[in-house]
Amino acid sequence: MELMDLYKWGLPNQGEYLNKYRDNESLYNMARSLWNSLDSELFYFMITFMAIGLVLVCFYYYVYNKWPGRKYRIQHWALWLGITGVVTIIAILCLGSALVTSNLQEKFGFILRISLISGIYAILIYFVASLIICNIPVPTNAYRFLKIGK
Amino acid sequence: MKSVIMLTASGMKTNGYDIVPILLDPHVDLEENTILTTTIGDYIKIYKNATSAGRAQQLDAPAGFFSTKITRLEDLDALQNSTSTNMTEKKSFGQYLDVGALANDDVNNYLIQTIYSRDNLKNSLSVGFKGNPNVGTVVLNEMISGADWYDAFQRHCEKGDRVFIISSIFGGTGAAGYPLLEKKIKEDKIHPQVQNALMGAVTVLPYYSLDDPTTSGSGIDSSNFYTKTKAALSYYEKSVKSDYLYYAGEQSLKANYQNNEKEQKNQAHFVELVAASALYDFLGRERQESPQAMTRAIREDADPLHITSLGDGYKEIVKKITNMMLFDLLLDILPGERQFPLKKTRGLNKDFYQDQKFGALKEFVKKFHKWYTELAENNRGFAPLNRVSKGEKLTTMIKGLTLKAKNESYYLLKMIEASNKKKVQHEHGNRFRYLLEFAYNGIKEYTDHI
Repeated sequence: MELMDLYKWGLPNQGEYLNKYRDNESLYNMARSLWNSLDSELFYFMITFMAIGLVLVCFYYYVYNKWPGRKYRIQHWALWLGITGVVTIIAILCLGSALVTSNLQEKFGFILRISLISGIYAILIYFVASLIICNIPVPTNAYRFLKIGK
Repeated sequence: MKSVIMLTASGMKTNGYDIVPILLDPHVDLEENTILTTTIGDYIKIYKNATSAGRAQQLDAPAGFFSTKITRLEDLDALQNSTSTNMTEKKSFGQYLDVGALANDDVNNYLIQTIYSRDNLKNSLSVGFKGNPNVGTVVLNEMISGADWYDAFQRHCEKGDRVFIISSIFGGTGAAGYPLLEKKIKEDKIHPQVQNALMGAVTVLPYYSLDDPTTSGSGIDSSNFYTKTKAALSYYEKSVKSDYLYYAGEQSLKANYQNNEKEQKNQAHFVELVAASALYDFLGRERQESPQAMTRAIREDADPLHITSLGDGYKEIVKKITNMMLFDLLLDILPGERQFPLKKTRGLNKDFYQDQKFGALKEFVKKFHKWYTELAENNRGFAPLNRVSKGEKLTTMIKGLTLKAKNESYYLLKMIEASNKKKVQHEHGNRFRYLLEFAYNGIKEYTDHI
């Protein structure tokens, strides 16, 4: 599986997108360059959302929950789930803008879509990691509401 | 005695000794007597719940709250009668002495009329001795001599056990009972473990007055308290030989109670707390060559008393009471904490909070709260704590001292951390014990510096 497969569901079909510029070679080349650039940077985007998801889930369970204020409540877990998504979107928007070079207007739209998709994946990682943490015998001060069984 | 139970519940150390309370009170119908007996029973149940681990397994005493074992003498010996049963006859003192059988010109009749007033002879023994030690001495002496409980005490008193007698000096039962009981024990040559037991006593000097007996119709006149005390003290001076004798009292009769000998609904008082603290002091002391007279002062003559006016010697008591009051707060909060981590990890769930064991604990701690409130509101007041309830700022809970914990979430967090510490002694699965220990560990993180 290629990395692009992770994002395919939220991006336009590559062939259809490039076909829009088949009458203008210069724009076609720029569009192809943009697509290739996005494709080549996807690895960094993936590393970014994985890192943010894992770091923030660990932060929630092992740092944030050492602070008083009933941080163990599910609402705090949900808050950090949301923060994970937002931070990932912002981080990938910044990273994409810095790494992907193109003068095409679509650039921002593509990066925004990739950021949103990455945000969703980061949330999924946060959820799956929470599920694992809640079911392993490693001490945490958080409420293990995802614990399976009694 | 109530103060002893409350302080012991809060975790006051007894130096490894178990407590076997023996209550001697002829006034068994007294509500306060029933409340005390029930409170002792409740303590015993809570201790049992905290130390049982299923399949007849026994755990060590918990650290902190309810850390001392209390056993009733009748539980040790399967006694059928309570310690006061044979004092509760509905006879008058005159009937008890069988004065009616004496001829009018009998010399013994003249002697009795010289020693006792008509009111003395008419007094019903079922309500005590109404502040008359001269009556108490006669009745109690016979009661101790033939009582089942005293035989049981002789059988169960072992080498190294200690005896501590708590009494007041200005009433009837205590003032008469203490020297009698002490003499009986010191002269018990047949049971050397009884005779040689290290003995302590606390005698409470007058600290409250009663309403005018001419308006209340009572047979007790508190204006005689000091006279009776002086008389008793002059007797004690020559006769009592306890290894440690503690005196607790007030400068004046600050508190005033209703003069109703049948009800005696007196509020808990600071002097009783001081008297109770003598027990813990005694249990930490060694035998001396001669009897030691002990007393305890406060730093400033203030009313109500706070941690600074009490002085450093009271810090341990203030700390323990603070711990228990915080525990009371946590017991209010915890059943509503639906996402509390210990629900998943230690089984502190809805079933647990609806269980009778938790209910009994909560009820006991509520009694503790009431007891403290009475102490705080009495004269002189013992009020080192500010009133706190759910959601309130807790840093100023102790007057004149700042606690680092801002609200209850700080204590809940420390409870969770205590639960997370992997220890072999946490593997028992006793949920009740988890609650007691983790709450204590959590609370003491913030109160240990007091």
